[in-house]
Amino acid sequence: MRVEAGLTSVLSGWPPPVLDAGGPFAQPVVLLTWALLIGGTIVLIVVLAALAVALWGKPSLRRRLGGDRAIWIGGVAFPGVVLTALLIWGLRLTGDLQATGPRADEMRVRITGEMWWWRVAYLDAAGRTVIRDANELHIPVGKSVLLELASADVIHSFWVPNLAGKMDMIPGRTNLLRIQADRPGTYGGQCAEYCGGPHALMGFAVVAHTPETFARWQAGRRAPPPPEAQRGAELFRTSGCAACHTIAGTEANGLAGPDLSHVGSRRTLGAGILPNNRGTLMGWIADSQTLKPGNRMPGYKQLAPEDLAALAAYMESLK
Amino acid sequence: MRSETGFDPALYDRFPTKGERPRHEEAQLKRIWCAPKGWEYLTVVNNNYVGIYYLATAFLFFLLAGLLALVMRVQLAAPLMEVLPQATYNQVFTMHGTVMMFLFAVPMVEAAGVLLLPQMLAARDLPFPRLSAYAFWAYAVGGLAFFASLFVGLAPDGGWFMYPPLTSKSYSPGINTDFWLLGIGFIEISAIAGAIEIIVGVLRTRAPGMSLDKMPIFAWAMLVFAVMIVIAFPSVILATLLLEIERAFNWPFFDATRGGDPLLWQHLFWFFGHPEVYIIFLPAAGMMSMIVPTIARTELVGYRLIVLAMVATGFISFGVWAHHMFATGLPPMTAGFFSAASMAVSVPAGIQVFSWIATFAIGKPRFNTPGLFAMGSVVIFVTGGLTGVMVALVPFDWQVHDTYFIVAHLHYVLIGGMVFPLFAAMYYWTPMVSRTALSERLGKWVFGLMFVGMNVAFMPMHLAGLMGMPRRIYTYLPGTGWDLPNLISTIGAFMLALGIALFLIDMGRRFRLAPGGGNAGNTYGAGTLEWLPTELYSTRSIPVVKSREPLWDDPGLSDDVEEGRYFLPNSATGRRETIVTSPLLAEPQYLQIMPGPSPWPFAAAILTAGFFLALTVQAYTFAWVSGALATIAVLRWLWDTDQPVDQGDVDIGAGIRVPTYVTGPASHGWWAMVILMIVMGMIFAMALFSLAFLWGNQPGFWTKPLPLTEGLAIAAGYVGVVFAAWATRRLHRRGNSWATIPVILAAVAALLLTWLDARAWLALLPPDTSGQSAAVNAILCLQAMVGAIAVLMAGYLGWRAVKNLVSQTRNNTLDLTCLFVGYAGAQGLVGTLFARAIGA
Amino acid sequence: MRTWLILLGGMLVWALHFFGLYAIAEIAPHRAAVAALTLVCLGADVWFLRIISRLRRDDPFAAWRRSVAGAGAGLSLLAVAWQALPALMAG
Repeated sequence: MRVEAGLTSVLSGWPPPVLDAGGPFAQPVVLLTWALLIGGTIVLIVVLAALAVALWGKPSLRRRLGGDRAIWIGGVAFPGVVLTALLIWGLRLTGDLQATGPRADEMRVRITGEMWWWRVAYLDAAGRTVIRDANELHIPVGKSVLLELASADVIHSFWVPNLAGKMDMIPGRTNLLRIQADRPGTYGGQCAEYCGGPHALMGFAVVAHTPETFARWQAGRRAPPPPEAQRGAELFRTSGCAACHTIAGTEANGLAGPDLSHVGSRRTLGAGILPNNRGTLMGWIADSQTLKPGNRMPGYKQLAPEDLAALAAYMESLK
Repeated sequence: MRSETGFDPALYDRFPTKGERPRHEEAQLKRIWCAPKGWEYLTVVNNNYVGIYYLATAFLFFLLAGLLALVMRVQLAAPLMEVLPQATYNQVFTMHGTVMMFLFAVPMVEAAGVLLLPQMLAARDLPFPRLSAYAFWAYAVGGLAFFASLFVGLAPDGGWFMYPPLTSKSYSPGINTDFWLLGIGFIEISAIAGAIEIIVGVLRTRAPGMSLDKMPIFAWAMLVFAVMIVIAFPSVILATLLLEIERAFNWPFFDATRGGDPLLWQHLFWFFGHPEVYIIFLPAAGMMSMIVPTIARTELVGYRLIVLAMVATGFISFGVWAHHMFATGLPPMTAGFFSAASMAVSVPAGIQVFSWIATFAIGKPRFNTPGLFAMGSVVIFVTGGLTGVMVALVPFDWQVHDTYFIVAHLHYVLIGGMVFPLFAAMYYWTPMVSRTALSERLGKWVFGLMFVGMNVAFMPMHLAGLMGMPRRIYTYLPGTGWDLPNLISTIGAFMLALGIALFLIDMGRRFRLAPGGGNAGNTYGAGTLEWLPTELYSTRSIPVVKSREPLWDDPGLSDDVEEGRYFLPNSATGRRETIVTSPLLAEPQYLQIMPGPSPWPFAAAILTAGFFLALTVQAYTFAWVSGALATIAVLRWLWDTDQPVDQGDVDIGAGIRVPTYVTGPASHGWWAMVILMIVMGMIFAMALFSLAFLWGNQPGFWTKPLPLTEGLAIAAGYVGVVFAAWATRRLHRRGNSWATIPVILAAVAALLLTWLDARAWLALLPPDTSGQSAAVNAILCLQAMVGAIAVLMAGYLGWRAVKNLVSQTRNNTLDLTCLFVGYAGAQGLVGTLFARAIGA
Repeated sequence: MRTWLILLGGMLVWALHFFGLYAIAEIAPHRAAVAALTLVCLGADVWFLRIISRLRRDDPFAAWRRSVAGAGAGLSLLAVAWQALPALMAG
């Protein structure tokens, strides 16, 4: 039943995103990963070969394996050399990838983990919020973006494997993470630190634009959305939606749930778990608890189908 | 050979003695160490029984947690399965991890120690049999009650590492979390009791002549294991205590909005949590190092290096805890050297693996079931070790941390490093305790299914992790592509389970417990002492050990031991007893009179469990009554343990005489008390660390502490307490009949000083104000608890003095009370000054 | 006690060095402090190795003790240098 509701992940597992870098903050780790996987397999084969020789080998070979010298070589000297090389590589890379304060003219976005969605705030150079959004991040290709990661409740972890490693969102702290996408497209992510309840259904999407489309997206966000669907807007006000949600330019200023000012332009619903269209919008409003059990939004099954349709139309109009 | 204690090693040449021993001696031993009947199965304290109870219970938890894993694998076999609802799944994965780590792995290896060590060391029993019984019953009752919380939907659901703030009152208001905190905190106490037993047992009850270099490698492993428990577990005990206090009384240790820090929990938890992995691995590696030489029919290659590797593992494992926190934003220098230490810890593991390979190489390995499990273990463990090196690299860890790659890694390490050696051990040592060995034919099937099933189950998880699948998700959506690897994993999990089911069938058919002799015997032709013929009193006489594999080097040893031609062929005092030897060279020092069966450890365990369970369900009156009764039960059991016997010294064989009562640093009781003090000291040190950590991380919430100068008077008082405890021992030794009075007064004074200190702090900072106030008050609470125990001990001592039981010029009860009161004074002194110094 | 110090000496130096580095990294990360502490600990290991080399080995236990202690101090020497590497690189 739930499959028919259209639940689908924004994160695609093939090709494995850890091995499929979309930018310079993931690319060096892909190389490291392949080196580790191949190197590890070779070492495993060598050790298994040693075990095989010990069990079935020729007596002369076995005698060579059977002494303190073999233990020193196999157990100390060999790992010592390999590990030192790896350590130096790893440390260099750690230093390169660790994000420090903002570079000049760099785009900054504050992302706050909430149970079980993501609050997104685009910042200007002074750190003031210019655009509010939720559950997806729009970036221009080829430019690095600095993410300020925080939490509003419990520990979450921000992870978009194509673009960078993960970074925890910890109450009382702000952690920095730098990402960059070099080709346009949508990159999926998912909360990686267990945060209770529907932790499994806390997805995220990063949308990378060419410079032109990014400029268009930005311009679209700054203009207040036209209230086309009047009846939907009215229903939004009277049904209590505004207690939890904000829509810029209207009276709706609730802070508990995701900001809906631009919900019509989002790729997904429910934090990366549903495609966004009229039908899924209606389904989500009517009964989000079936789609994402345990999430904080109550169901609105009491609304008549035509009311749901009107609300959905209003949501769709918010670009 | 120089002597350690003044014992003349030439006396060993008197053994084996000539001639027949009188017939009645053996009958007397059998009478004294008789088997229990009926209800006595509950009051039994002998390691042959307690060890088996312990092993069986731990294995039961393995099966239960394994069943949970199977249900989870069904739920994850395809996207959006609805076998387990979300809330249930979250409880199930939390319980799977918790039960496997705390109720299976640690108790299982501890149980193996209780069962095997006395036989390997040729001691009659472990030195504190009643403590073993208490530890077991506390664990069994507490563990089963904890597991039962799953059936009423109250099982914890915060993951096995229980990160706050998810587990704080705001986000987990139910008592599920309290079940974890109180249940696990309680079971840790039982683990520490077992560790004290094992340390003293290994160091002080070895067969004469078994110097450290001749100790079976399993005993070395258990020694390092137990010391690691003593250092690591206090950290998690403190952490659970703090979180429970935060939940119950709103003291904000981990609440970032009020000057606490959720990362403090992570530091405390992983300072325990990573050593925990090696705590589980080392005893299993010790078993491997016993089994591999026997299977290869040769002595172990690199004994010296393995000992060194085990000790090094013990040390380095305390320097790797932060590798669980690479993604929390550690400072670069810290991340760097935790990464280095995490790689370095693979070197000692490599040493052991190559030692086993070398041993196979020089021997004539047999491919029987224990042998196959040992070889399979090497393959799996090396695979897990290699992925371990990978995740020690910070950039790679940033990608795979908290994904199924880690799930794969940790199961390879734990199954290869612990479960497979354990199965090898169960096949290997079954003939020692059962009338028949297990089936070889079925055993090969068990091995095959488990080995293939394990790899089919966990190898695809590496890929699932690289495909982006996070841990601890109750379901996943279509379109991720995770379906296929998950389906394969589920199939593998059922193969693994089938192997274990076959093992159970084999156990049911062939395992027949034979604690009082009549076991299958040395089927595999091993060389160590546990394969001597045994009864409930272990071996008839206690041999002089001259090599690491005495049974190989002296083919007549079994007969000589059985005929009573070595130490202690009888009961010298007519009671249960064993020889206490010196820690390095194992020279006989004295004869320990051992306590026999008693209902009190059992009662104390039930009542302690009652105390903790009642606290969990908030039945406070019942809790306090139960706690008070538990204390009385413990004191009652202790009452008849410190009993000097009439004979001052006795003949323990071949005319060698040793005393029957020893006090001071040479006594086993002193050793246990010192270890207990280290445990208390570690708990306290972790509390001090918490205060310093909060100061470093939340300086904005700091209030200027009380002035140091005002604390000096209280500090001077604590110095007086230490002095009074020291003086009491001296006065008593000079024969002063009123000598117990200073230490009793000192204990009361220590508690009063804490009250004075607490009053001053409470006026400045009520405990729920900030992280600082919570931590300072936690330090004061710990001090009050130590003071209360000191007063209780002093009262017990006073009561014994009134009953004229503190009559000797040297007395163990008095010694131990003085030690503890002195400790209470010293801890108070440090705490008073430290709380005032931080942030001053 | 003396025997335990001999057997564990190398490891104790390692532990001292490790927790010293942890304190430096948490309180005041300085490359010079790391280098100084490392030199002191390496020196301690070398000094300890000299002591071990003079220990008696006239009975099996003493010889065993000496060889374990020597191997331990040698490993400690390597481990201390290894442990300092990242701190020096990151400082």
